[in-house]
Amino acid sequence: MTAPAGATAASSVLSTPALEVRDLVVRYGRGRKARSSPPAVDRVSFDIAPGETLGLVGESGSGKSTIGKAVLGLQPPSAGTVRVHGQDITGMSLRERSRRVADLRVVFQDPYSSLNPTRTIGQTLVEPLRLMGVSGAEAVQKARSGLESVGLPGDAVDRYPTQFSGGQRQRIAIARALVCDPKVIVLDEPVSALDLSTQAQVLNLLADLRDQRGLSLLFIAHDLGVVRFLSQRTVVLYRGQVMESGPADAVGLTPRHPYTLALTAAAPVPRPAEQAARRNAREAAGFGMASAASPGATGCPFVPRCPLSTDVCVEQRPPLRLIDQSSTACHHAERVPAL
Amino acid sequence: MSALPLDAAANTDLDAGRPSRPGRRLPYFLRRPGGLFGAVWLAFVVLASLTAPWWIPYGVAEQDLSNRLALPSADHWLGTDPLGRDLLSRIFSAGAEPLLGAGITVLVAFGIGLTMALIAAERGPRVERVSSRLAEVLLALPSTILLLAVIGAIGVRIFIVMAVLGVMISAAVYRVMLGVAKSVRQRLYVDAARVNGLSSLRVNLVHVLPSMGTVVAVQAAQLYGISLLIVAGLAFLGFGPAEPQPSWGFMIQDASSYVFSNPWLLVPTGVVLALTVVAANELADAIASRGSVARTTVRRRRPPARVGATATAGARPADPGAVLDVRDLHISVDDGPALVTGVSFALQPGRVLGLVGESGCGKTMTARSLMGLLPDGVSVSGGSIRWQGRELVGLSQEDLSAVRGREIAMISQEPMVALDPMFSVVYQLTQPIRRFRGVGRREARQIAAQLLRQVGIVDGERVLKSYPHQLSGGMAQRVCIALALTGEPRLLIADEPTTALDVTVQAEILSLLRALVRDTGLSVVIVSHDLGVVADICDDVAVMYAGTVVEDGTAAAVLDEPAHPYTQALLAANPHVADGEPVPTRLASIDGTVPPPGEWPTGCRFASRCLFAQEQCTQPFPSVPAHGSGSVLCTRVEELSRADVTWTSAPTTGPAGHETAPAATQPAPTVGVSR
Repeated sequence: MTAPAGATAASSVLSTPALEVRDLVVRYGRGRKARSSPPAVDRVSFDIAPGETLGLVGESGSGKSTIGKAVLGLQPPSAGTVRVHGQDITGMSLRERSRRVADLRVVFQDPYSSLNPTRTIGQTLVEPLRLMGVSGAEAVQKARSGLESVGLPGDAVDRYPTQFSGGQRQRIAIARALVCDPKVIVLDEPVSALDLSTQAQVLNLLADLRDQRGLSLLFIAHDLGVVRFLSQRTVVLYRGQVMESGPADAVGLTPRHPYTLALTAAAPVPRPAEQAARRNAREAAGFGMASAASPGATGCPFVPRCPLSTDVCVEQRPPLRLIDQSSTACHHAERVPAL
Repeated sequence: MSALPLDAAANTDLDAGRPSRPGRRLPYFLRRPGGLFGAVWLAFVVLASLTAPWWIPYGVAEQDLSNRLALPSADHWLGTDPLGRDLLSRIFSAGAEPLLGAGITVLVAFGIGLTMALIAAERGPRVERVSSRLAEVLLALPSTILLLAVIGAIGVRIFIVMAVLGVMISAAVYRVMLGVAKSVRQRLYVDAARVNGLSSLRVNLVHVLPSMGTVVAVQAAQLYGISLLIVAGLAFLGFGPAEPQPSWGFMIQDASSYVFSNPWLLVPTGVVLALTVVAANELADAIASRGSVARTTVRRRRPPARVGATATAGARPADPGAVLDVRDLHISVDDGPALVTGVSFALQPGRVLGLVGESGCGKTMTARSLMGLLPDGVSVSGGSIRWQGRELVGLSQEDLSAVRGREIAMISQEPMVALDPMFSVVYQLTQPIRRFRGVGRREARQIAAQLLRQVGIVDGERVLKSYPHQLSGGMAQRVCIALALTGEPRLLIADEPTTALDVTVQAEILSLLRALVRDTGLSVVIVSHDLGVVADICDDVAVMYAGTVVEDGTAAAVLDEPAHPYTQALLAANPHVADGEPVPTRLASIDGTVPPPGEWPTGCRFASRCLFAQEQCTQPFPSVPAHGSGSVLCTRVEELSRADVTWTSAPTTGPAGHETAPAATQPAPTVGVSR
């Protein structure tokens, strides 16, 4: 994948990326069967500059959560490299990672199963700190201030997860990631289990924390609107491959890939008249049914659903190429209609 | 054994948000009579047996030949045996060996089985394959024969024999624990701990094992009982301590030869052994009962709520043209808080009504009540639901089932859960078709294929032969819709029908529902939290908050010109901006959370979170007409609209009336409300 254009390219000259993923491939399972089936993640590359948020967006089965797991070391990649501040951590064990690069943390989607119900909030927050050699009293102090930085009272350290609502638990999960003072946080669908008003609270909090602390975020989500709110750049995935990547506004407003267009057009807006117009436009565009799609081994994975597809799309997998500000993997990017 | 609750996490939905202080009260399993009995009896027997040498009134071999086979007396509390030895002394002197022996079996079995299970669950399929084969080999060994062989080789050294038994049973323990450990390891907090760099030992000890505690305790208690019986059984066969040393098994064997002449002899030993085994099992049962304890406490957590705290009743006259007319509906937990109060709406034929709001606002309960499908312990406590002029509230289950499926059908959020994984699609479709339409098998199949075409499935024949797991989520939801259409209903209730689906699939399903409404004149009540979905498909919308409708009217009116602060706030919190508008740097948000049922304030229930709340909002007030045929439940709505203030244009000060906030633990979020 070509280096992203514009501001990011300029800034990466000045400093190494906070997170660098190169040609990542992840296959599930073992043996011949796994090798013959398409990989869950197929040659995905991206950079995140210090202080930048990259949105990873796609539907279920797009491989976005698998990428998050591979970056965190929870799923060993089959090929490719993951670097944090230039340091290759691909083959490192989780224990080694935390000793040598303590700046990669995670916030998961489900606020209910992401906190151990048998441990107090304090125990949960102190655990990684103690591991880093912070003394007991100082760790508790850090846990308290961590909770306060996400808008919870410091005395929550003595309580158990069941005493908190979903949004509060997600704040606690964010605090757990923050106490170690990481540089990069992987956010795996951090708001999709929350109600709308709570979702807005958590999104605002994440934006604040990012700006205050210069955090780099890998923000994994299925909702383009949410991704656009928090991210500077967006990568759109389909069946483990990058379809399009570029500045969040460009990807959101002028999609250069038919799949991005399909995603954008399908997201309903809460304004009935505008939504009716969008719906008509979407229905007129003639996308194939999502459930009937099973692509061939070669070529573009989006072919069965794509209204623009031709023979070349079936035969050749399109390479990523730069059009305006976005890289897109489409032979017919120039023909993608405007929204 | 499969229905065991894993741990507290399995019940979080029951006591979520409810401060459950782990104080100095009795452990939950001691609060049940069985558990208390089990624990007390086991403690007594163990203590009495271990201290027996110091308190028994007679020596174990002390014979009183003039008092053979005596019944209980002041001298011999439990009577004497054929040699005139004191039964009480012998029973408790004999106790230490089986009680400790069974303990050894349990320790060895869990020491090996649990450790292996934890390792296998952590290391993945390769290690698991090896350890599971090993376990199978152990399970295939004939354990009784092996035990006797061990005794033959090393003699009656009961603790070693019981340790060998523990090794053999460890395979069974491993099997059970492996499944539990694997499911606990899937919890995200385990992943989070691993990302934090915890050693695998600490991950297992701190995060995996405590969550398995309940299952381990249950299994251990049960295994203990079984092991006790095995020790006694071995002694019964003569593989126990040599005479005159007493053993439970041999005492029973001895007594059995006197069972007709002196039946009492069997009673003391038999009762002690039986009680001990029963006690272990009762304790296991009590430990396993955690789930049901939590449920009963939830049921009676609140006194009955005051019905009609907000006076929406009778705000509007009944609607003559409506197929469905809901008036002043109240739903509450039996002997508990109200979940829905004073909900009224009317649905015209061929229209789609959206019930929208956040979780915990009563929208699903309202929808389910329309079909008489409220969960156990929840019922309609007031108001009326008139379906085509017929009152549904108070109908018997038989009368309701005549309506259900035939006139009113339902689709749910999880299509995969709604379909039975054991049966093919064709079976699941033809069964209701034959019942509802009274047709034969062949005709039912034709109708099924036609229904699948109607829901937009092109390769209907393939789908008919499929089983649910072979379908994608979108396809399964289409099949669910076809299933709902089998009875040719006039009203479809759709509870979050697209929430679990991808956004492109959601658009397809919404298009399908719209086509069905257009082509068949079906009326639909759709429950959703997504205002975009509501804008896409609904003609009318009712916004619900904390069990009541705060604003309703046509979708266009409510969504384009929201009058209630809550509706405004929901819309402002939506990150989807209109085309051509810049993305805001902050989203408008609402402080706090929805107050749970039973903690609703008098007056406006949104007041504690509302930017515009004032003194007058804490008093009950009626809803006012708005949006033509709709209404708004806000006492300041006129005032706000005259002053032209909306949620997004409001000053950034925190909400007034924070003292009425639902829980004192509620923190004030750092995030403001400005844009």
